[in-house]
Amino acid sequence: MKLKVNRIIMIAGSIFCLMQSQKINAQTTANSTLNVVLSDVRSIKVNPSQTNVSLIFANAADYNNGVSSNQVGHLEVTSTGGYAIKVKSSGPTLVNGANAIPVNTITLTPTTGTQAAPSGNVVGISIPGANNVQKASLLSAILNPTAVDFISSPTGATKLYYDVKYQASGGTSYINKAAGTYSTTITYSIEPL
Amino acid sequence: MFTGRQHKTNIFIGIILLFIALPGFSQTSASATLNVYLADVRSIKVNPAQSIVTLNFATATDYANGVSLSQPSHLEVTSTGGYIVKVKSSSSVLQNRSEVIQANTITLTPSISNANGGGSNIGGNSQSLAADTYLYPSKLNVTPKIIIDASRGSSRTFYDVKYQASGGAEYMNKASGNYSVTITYTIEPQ
Repeated sequence: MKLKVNRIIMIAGSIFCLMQSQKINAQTTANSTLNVVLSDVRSIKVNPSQTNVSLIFANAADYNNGVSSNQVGHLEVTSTGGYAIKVKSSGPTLVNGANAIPVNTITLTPTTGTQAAPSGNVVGISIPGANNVQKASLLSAILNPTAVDFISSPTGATKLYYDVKYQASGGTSYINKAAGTYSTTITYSIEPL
Repeated sequence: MFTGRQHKTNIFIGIILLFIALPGFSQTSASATLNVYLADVRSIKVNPAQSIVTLNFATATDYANGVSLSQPSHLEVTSTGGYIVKVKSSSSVLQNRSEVIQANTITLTPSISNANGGGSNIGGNSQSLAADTYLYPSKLNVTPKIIIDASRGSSRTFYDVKYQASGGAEYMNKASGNYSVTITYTIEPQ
């Protein structure tokens, strides 16, 4: 009888050990580490369909009052933090052969985008509340070969669009000039605020 | 404890993050070309408030000495280069039904308007408008006559015009009433 009991205990112990060892072998969870790496990013693009902006003087009112053109969704900005955008021209004049118009007769005025950009993106889509946009400081810039302040924002945003109005003053600087096309290259740059 | 499979998963995640993080570094400036196109333009306008000019003969003095009326800022000129302004009448006479007064008894005299700021420094690029411009009084005629000859263009230059009817014999023995003619100013390149 005692032997029988011992055998039962042994069997039970074996089963218990077996169960324990099976429990160890059947590990069903494992850990891995996910690292999300954020880098400081600042990006600015001119709408690819608006890389040539034309202001056409065709009648007396144009020469007397000037000519302007608003480019909707002109600049696309992505920045992981506060940013400043500056603008400059490639030289002191718009050039047409030997003729020139001073670039300081051109004023650029930024506004927060109000319409969908041509790519179909909704302006300011990823900005949590339009607050970011409203906080941005928008300055009319008189064109100059030295970069001047244009837009500054204390907060970042992704795919934020700005409209830009290009305005040529007309008047004396545009009179007694050869007819034709006067050009300059305008460069926008983005940097940390 | 890592199996071979877990190692592969970690590497895969690492590569994805690398691709996400990299592209933003590139584009910190962007450019556009600004083109200003200038066309040759010449424009002349008569002050809309002065499209009817009336010389009123009411007294003996008017008939003896004539009547004149100066129209301030009568003409507004915009021209991208040197220009000539000519004037002509639609007929050789001012008409009142069957009666007429010869148009050549009317003299038009242009002058640089005070509306230009005294007539200086508005000819463009610090050139004096007065130095650039010749002004010619002209008797009214169906053939266009030059009254303004400017060697340089300008934006919104104003000219006064004095209208002067001679009076005298041509104005005597006529029926009272309104004698009219249409006067046309034209601008052309110098």
